[in-house]
Amino acid sequence: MPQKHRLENLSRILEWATTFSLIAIPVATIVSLSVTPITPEVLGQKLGHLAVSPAATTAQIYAAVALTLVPLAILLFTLNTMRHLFACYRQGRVLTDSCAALIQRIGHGFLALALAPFVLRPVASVLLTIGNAPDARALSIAISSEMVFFALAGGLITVIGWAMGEAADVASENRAFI
Amino acid sequence: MKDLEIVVRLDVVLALRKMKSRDLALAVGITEQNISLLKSGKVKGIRFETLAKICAVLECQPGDLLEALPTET
Repeated sequence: MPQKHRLENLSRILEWATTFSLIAIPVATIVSLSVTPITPEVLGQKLGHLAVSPAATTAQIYAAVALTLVPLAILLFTLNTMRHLFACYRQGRVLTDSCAALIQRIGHGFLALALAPFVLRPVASVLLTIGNAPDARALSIAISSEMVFFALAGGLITVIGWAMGEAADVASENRAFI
Repeated sequence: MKDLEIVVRLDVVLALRKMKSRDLALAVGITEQNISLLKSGKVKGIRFETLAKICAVLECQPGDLLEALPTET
C-alpha cells in the first residue's frame, strides 16, 4: 500500500509538471520566434552552421522553420500522453489496458522524436541552400547522441507498454476470481 | 470428448444449511456481492483459499458445491 501512495503522489506532481510544460514550451517557442528575427544567417546557425543561401525566398525560410517545429509538435503530443498516463496513475488505475496503450503511445512518441530530425534536417538543409551556386548546395544528414537516446528509450518504453498490456490482462483475469 | 461446464450449487447447500448469503459472506470474509456472483456462476474461478473457507463454514466438500454438467447447446 505505501508503494501505491507513493505512486499516486508522484504521479500527481508529474501530472502538474507535464501540464506546466504543455503550456510553457509553446509559449516559450512563440516568444522566441517573435523576438528572434528569422533571417538566413540565424537559421543557418540553428541548423548547424549551414551556408544558407542569401537568395532563399521567404516561403523557403518559413517552410524550414515549420520543419523545425515538427519535433516540437511530437514532443507536445508525447507530453500530453504522459499527462494522461499520470492522471490514470493518480486515480489509482495502474494495471489497465488503457495505461498500457498510453505507455506504448509514449514509446512511439520517443521513436518519432528520434526519427523526425533525421528525416527533416536534410529536407530543411536542401530547402535553405538550393538557391546557392551548385557547389555550395548542401544535404545535411546527421545522427546525434540525442537521436540514439530517443530511439533506445522509445524502443524500451514500447516494450514496457507491451509487457504492461500482458500484466493488465493477468490482473483483469485475477479480478474475475473470488 | 464431451464439453462440460462447472455449475455452482452454493444456493442449494445454503438452502440445506438454512443459511443466508450475508451470513456466509461475513463468515468467509468476502463481500455479499461476490457470494451472489458465485451463486449465479458469473465468475471465472474461485481461489482454493475461498473454497476451503466456504467448505469449512458450510461443513461440506468442494464436490457438494461444484458440479460438472454437459454444456447446453
